[in-house]
Amino acid sequence: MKKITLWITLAVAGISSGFSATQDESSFSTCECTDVSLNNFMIEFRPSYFYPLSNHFRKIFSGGVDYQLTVSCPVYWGQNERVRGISLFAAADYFSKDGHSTYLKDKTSITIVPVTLGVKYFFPPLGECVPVNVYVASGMKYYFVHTKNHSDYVKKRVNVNGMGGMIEVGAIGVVREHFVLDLFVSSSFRCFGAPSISSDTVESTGINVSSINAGGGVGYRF
Amino acid sequence: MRKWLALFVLFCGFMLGVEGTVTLSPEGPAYEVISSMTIGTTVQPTIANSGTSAGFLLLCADGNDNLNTVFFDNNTQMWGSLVQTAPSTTNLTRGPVVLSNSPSVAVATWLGNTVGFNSGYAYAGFTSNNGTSWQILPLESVDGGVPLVGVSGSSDGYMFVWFDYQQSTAPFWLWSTFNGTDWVVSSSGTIPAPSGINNPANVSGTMSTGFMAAWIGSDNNVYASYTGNEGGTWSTPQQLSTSGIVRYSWIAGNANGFMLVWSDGANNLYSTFYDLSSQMWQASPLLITTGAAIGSIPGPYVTGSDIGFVLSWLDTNNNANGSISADNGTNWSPAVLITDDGSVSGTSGNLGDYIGASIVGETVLFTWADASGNAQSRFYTIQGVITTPDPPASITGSQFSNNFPFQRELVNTLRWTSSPSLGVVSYNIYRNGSLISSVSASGSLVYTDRPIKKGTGYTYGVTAVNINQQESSAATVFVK
Repeated sequence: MKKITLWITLAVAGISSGFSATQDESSFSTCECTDVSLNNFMIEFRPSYFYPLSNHFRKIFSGGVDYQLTVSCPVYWGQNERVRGISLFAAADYFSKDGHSTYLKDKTSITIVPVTLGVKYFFPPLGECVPVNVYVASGMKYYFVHTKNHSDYVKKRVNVNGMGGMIEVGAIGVVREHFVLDLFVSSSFRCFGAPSISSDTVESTGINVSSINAGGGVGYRF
Repeated sequence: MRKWLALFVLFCGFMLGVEGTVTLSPEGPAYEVISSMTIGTTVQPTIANSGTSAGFLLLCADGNDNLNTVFFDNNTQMWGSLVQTAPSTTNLTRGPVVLSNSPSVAVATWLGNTVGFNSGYAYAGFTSNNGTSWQILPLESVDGGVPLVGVSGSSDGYMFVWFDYQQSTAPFWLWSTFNGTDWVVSSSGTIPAPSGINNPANVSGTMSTGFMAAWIGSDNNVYASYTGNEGGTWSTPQQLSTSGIVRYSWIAGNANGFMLVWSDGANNLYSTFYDLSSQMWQASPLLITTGAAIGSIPGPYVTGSDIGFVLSWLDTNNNANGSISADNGTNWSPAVLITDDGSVSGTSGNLGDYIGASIVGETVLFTWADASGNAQSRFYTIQGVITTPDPPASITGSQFSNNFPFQRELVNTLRWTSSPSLGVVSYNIYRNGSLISSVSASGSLVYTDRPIKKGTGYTYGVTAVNINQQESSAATVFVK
């Protein structure tokens, strides 16, 4: 929880300072901030705190930091403002955490690498004369999950993958022409069923890797 | 008919008495002078001893107040010659205070290099060759104080606790290991003692049991504090006496807990026991003798082993006494008179700080200084102890899930309480009649069995094994 607070504080502070700097240049206040030369293709680095929704997951690993790289691009450059707010995005995440089995505290680790494709809707569209653009996003997320267990009594490695989904809300502000700061909360969903493990002493179980992520990002707008 | 009935009752009573009795039985001659040494004449040198399977190591001061070692070889059954132990630490004023033994090494502490009365340096020494050579660890420079240093531990590390008259607000502690060549001091500090400290502090314990320090506060009551993390934190000191006239105390431990003994200004002798299972001291101290134990120097001394605790003290007739308890002190054996000629050094002349005692197996060695300046010893055998042990008093078994991200294994966990018998050193674990493991009696009485087949029931048995490798019947439990 402290980590979430820290991320939010940093992001808000960053965005605020960015707005101040831009306002000093009187760009927002005069609506000259609209720079039609920018096509609003963006790339962002967005670390966030990964809070597992599953109690079972939390008991083994608790939460941790998720690292995400996102690219987004508007789909329409015309005059219709409603349509100009639509962007497509693609993201790749990386989350890795060590943990311990629930009873005997055997060491175990998990690595989750989801790849996301989705749609973002900015309001107002990026490039408009506002200090902050809010957005909502939704997408499909394909998970690659790798687990490694340091115990002689269970299968050492279990890998699964599968499709999930995500939704997100956030706010993004321009710091200096090309640079943006982002603040977001997202929720991702995927519950894996039990994989096939042939053993008379081990029972396979599913695991829910769904999470709520809260974090901030820095990006570059082309 | 009435006569036969009376005889039968008498026989039953005798048998019950024998079964529950633990006593000390003398070996060999009454007592013997160890070598021809002369106890130091400066101030209160102490004879200390400690035993291993190889023999017993005794430390004492010679007539020049130098620290000396003498070794009793179990093979030859004889005391060796005096060996001057630490030439650089002459002019002993206090100690050697105590030895802490693991199977092959001994650690001693003393105060030496005195300049004036009760001033000098507190030292610890490590030997792995029966005292032939020592590696010295200076603990504290003392000016006008008398640090009596207690030490306890094993090759994993040693805990020192001491008291300095010049800094009487709290006992000092130091945690150190010996790397084979040198002492390596890991941490040190003071034990928070709201009541201050007014008399010697000492300590007992191992890495597996933790360490208990005990001392006499400025209100002349005895206090104790426990650390389970090598001095990282100490528990709030617990006051264990209320009389306000406690004079000397000593503490010893074994796998079951810590035994604290003390004498007071009314010549009474008390004990109390800290149970490691319940982590509590006895509700009130046990009065062992009334008015018969000298309340001053030498103070009472206690030492522990798997069998129990041996207590030694000086009585008001200047004779050494001993007693043994195979439990938590509820049943101290009747006192045995180790000497009967009133020759033990008392509160005048050459003094010994206590009647030293060591337990190795079923053998107990007592050592003391006599009023003529000789070190003396007497061996005893513990009687009525080693019989086939009873099984653990109770056992429970439970099945748990050990969850991994995509897998769950079942594990069976057994917990049992210690055997009420004496000398139990380990417990054997059986699964469906087959021996699967053995655990030390000095550790946690818990065993986790894995892997377990789902839906399959297992019958577990736990037996107690004593130091003679006698094994009890099994306490059993079915787990599914």
